Amino acid sequence: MDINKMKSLNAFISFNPAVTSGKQIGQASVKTAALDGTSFALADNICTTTLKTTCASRTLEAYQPAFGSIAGQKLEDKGALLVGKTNMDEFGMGTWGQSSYFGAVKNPWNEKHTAGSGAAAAVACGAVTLALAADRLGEVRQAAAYCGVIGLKPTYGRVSRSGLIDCAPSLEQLGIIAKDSASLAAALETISGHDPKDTTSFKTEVPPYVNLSQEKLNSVKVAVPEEWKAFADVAGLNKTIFQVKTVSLQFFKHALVTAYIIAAVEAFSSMSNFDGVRFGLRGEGKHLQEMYRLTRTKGFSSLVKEFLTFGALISYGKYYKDYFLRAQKMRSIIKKELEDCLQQYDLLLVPAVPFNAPSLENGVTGSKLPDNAAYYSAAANLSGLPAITCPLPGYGAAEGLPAAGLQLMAKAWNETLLLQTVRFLEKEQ
Amino acid sequence: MIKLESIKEDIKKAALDARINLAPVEETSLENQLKDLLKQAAFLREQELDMVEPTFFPHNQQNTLREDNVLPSMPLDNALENAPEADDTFFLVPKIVE
Repeated sequence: MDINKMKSLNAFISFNPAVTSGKQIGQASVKTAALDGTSFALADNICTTTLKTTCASRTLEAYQPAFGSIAGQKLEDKGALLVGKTNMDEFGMGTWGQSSYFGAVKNPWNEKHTAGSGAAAAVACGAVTLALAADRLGEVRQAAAYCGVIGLKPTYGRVSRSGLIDCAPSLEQLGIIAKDSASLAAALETISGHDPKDTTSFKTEVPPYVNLSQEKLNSVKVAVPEEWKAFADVAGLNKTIFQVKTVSLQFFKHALVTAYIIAAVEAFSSMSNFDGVRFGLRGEGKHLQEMYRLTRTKGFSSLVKEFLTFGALISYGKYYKDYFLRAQKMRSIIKKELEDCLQQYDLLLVPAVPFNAPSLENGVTGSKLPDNAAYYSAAANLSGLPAITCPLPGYGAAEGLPAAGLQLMAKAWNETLLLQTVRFLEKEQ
Repeated sequence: MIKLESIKEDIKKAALDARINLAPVEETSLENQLKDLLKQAAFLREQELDMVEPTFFPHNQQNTLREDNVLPSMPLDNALENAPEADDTFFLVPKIVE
């Protein structure tokens, strides 16, 4: 791995000392479930006992967890080697990779543009074979699309969130970024499964994804919203296998704002423990309440402060009733619309993001409510459905950036079909 | 119905609840964004939702309980090692009252 390249991209916040001392780390694609020697990275909101976990925030700059994540431990138990912790938006808030206390992550394809996250940048330039990162409103899939790699958000409950410092528990999942479907399947097979430490993880059987993902596809019915029919045409889905039909989704367009309102209220609640008492930065105050306020004011960026204040506001009686509660009801409608669609079709095809990787030179700072990058991705988080993005060659490449990413959603627990489809597209390309 | 004129005061109150001191520039930024967001969220008020049950988690899950066994807790040293200030077996904080 070229450490200087990683430093110039600002992809990592910390490295495994074994890497910086020159030890060779495996970088080959994974062909079997055995991950022996495979290199991987963890986003820096996934706890590790050997490296600090900062959430890319000043408030946790020196935080050394006493426990690690279950998913990361499962990878290490299979012989995978942790290369380091990757840069990200502070507490995963934002979708540009620009709100990090440690600075923006540059895109390896064109350093004037964001990579979305260090995890995607590290995979895209071959520093690691795999990376795990949190997907709250689609961050794994957006960053993967910006960097021309594959990103998967599994079904809610498929992978343990134990050891993930999340801020929107009902939306956030650990996702996987990889360069090829085989590596992704091996990682998913390894990290999936029930975990008694995570009460939201499900006791469902973990399929042998590595073997299943290599099985031949037969007939797949694909739904694509009317306005994205051309996108499906470019994808060139083999007509003998894929039957593409246009559908009308009335509520899908509301997913972004709905998810933002829910995420803000959950973050306001989940992040109340960053108060300078048990861990993290502490601001000096004459009394406890003042210490709380100064700690959080000093430790969080403007983006996080504004987002948490927004969450507090939406939690009030009048806002709660008119916006938060109604957003949770709209979530039911969006979820039902997607589930009904996927009763008739095997896959739903939409873009991953509405644009290419944004430029870092525009000087966008502070918060953005809501961030349009999540326009197509937030629906999968609201509904808990699995979704994957992979590059779509021949569509949307510009300014040296990779082609746009297509996104596929499937029924709950059917990650196998997503992997099989991406593998098919890999072979076709 | 939310009155946009009251948002400025609502933001100040919400920041206090979130235990955050917002700088004037941050208050203005949030105020502008919030006004815009609430307009974008108008669909929530227009949609008939009275008969719709809210979804708080993606899947229906009953209470998930583990076996009622005594398990070891986090060792005290580990719990205290990240504390900004600690003494013996206690987290230290400033006085509670002003």
